[in-house]
Amino acid sequence: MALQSNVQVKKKNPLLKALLWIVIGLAGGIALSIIALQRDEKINAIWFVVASLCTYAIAYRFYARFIATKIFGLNKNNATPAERYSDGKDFVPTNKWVLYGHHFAAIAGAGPLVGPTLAAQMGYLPGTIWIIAGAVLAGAVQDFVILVISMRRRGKSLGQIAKDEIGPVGGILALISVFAIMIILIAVLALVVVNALKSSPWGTYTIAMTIPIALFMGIYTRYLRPGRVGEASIIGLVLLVFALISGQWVADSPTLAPLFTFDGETLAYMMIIYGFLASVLPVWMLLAPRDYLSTFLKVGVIGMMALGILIVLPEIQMPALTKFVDGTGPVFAGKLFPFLFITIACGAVSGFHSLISSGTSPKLIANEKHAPMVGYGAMLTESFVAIMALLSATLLTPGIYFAINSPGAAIGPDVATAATTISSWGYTVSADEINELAKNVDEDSILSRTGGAPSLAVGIAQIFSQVIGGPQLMAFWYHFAILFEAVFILTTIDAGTRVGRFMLQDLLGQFFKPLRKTDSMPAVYFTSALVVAGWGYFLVVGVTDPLGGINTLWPLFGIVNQMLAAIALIVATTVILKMGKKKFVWVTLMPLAWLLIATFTAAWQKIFSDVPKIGFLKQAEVLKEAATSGNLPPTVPSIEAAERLVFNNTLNAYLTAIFMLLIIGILIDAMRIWYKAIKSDKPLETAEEPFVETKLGVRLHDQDINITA
Amino acid sequence: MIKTLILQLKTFIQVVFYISKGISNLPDYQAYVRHLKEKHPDLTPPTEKEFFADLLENKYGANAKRCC
Repeated sequence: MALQSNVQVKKKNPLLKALLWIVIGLAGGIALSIIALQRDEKINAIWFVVASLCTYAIAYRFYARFIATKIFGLNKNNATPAERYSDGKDFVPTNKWVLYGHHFAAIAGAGPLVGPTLAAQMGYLPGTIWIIAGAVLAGAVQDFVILVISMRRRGKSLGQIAKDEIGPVGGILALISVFAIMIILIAVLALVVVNALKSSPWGTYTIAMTIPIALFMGIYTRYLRPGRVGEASIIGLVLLVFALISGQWVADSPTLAPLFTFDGETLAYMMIIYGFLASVLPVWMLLAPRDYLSTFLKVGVIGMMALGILIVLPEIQMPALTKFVDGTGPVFAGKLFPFLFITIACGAVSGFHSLISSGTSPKLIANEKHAPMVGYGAMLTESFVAIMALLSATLLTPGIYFAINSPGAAIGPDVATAATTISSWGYTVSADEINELAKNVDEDSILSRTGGAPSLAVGIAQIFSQVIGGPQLMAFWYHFAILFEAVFILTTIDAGTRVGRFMLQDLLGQFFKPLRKTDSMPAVYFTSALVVAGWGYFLVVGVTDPLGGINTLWPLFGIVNQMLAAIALIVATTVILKMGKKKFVWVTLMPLAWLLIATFTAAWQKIFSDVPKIGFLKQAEVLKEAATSGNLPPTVPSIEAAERLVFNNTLNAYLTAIFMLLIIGILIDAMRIWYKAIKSDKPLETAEEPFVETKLGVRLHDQDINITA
Repeated sequence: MIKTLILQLKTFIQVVFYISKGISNLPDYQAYVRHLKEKHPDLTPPTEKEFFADLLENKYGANAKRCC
């Protein structure tokens, strides 16, 4: 008897475990209060790392498990689609950690890097709190819950689930929203790349080189050694490093540098042509090889960033709160509420993830019990990426941060005026410091390089050069970071344009049959051109916008992305209610309510605000008056330009209004079902597949590990 | 001694490839052929080239998903 209980204690050791969680909780609490309360001294990055990791650990151990057991009753004996529909290709039971890696690589993109960088204008505190709390209570919940719902429905997509569980209207509205967000997303990401490559021969040359490299990899995996993606990727990475190094030679050469120096508008049109070609060319040529490179770069650089921050442990230069919480900031306009919650979308909660959670991952998951790790865990990791991006932005001195991230209209066209303007805000910076940094990273100018990518690259270069190479390698690391961001943004542009094209073919094909044929050249060219024209329009508008474009486009992107998250949470709430789990509906209802409040306030202000920088309609009105009186602001070159801006602002206002109506439509349609479910005493019928006992069991585990067989 | 070292290295490389293929969501050709032989012995498995071409079409086709 005594022996038995002894063994049990050894097995579980509940006391030790409880103690461990108490320690983690205390450490997280202390770190969080240091972040929140420290005012006079500079704060070290380590506290951010401790605070976030401890919060994630506790949320994962307790909250994710609570959702898993209380709401869904995840059952290790219930066969997943990977087993039920096993086909060796799309439905394959996959190792838990590998799937976690895949899911993370699929959800992480430029979003969690750019958003926090822009949000740093309000200080480190608001962004940190929203990234951690948002991920734990909203983002990870959404990703996880949608993953489970899709996993129990043969891995169906969000649109399909919306159709099954809410009705055809909700389903179609969800599809239109996805298409709209795709267009805005591509435009804003393309703008980030354009701003990073503007008059930067090193950057432009390196990115241009990725095209022949990808083509070579494509031919290699198609004809030379079919399917040998690993080999091709290694060759590709080596060539990429060579492109990066030779970029400096190009930048330093007086004959070559002008060949790769372009202004924003030219780059925008090049991007549009590239997007069109990538959409009509076969995928093996360009898109697929670029995707391999970008996946490895992404996972690799994010790992390097984490290591770099842990080794260097930089001090944060930005104050906890800046005066720009009042909405007068130069990086983006609008007060902390609601605009911080729109600006940091990915990293806290991102609607786009629900498409991944209802895409490949539910078809690959081997066991229901893996779902928290994949759905909840991968989002926590993305949240940590956002924290690292925030650290990279706030470890710059505020003066330098604002010099890079403020549009020319806010700080003036030259270094001297910019330094005076920024210093007058209370963030002292000298013209010499700005010039010095530009020289260190081997760029003509770092002034007004909005979009977040250059600022993040400076932060990364500061960290990496402290670990390897010192100041001499600063320029190399800067362009390495630009390359890393641009490569996976371009992959998103390629793939997004293609996906948009397929959606459009499907949509328009309902009215005109021949458009549906994905192998018909005229249909493919026509729909591709439409999609490219859609995002290309917003891109060109953004590039020519006197306020810098990011100012307009990023909030618009944030609003649509968060609205898509709202759609996902509406679907999830519907399913939970139909399952008869009224008691626990707050799990999705709470983040849903918050998202609706934040996005609707933001959308309302974007349309109707009296401040021209915020309200689209007011801005249009101001410009219209300026155009008729001929008294143009210095940033608007001509009357025609002013008239174009009037049109653009009005269009943006209508677009925002349409998004709001879409969400209201879906919400009303869903509430009809909610009412039915709440009134009913027993669970309503859902599209969930009935329980099937798994046969994989232990054998799966063997198969998983035995990869050499 | 050297033999086991080489074997270990080989296994290590295979594990790395397995993980990176998994992260990029590239199904394994050999595993697919095994699956066909086991479950559908009447079907002729595609060549590696066909398998790969088909896979890309599927991966970046109408159901492709991409995130921000």
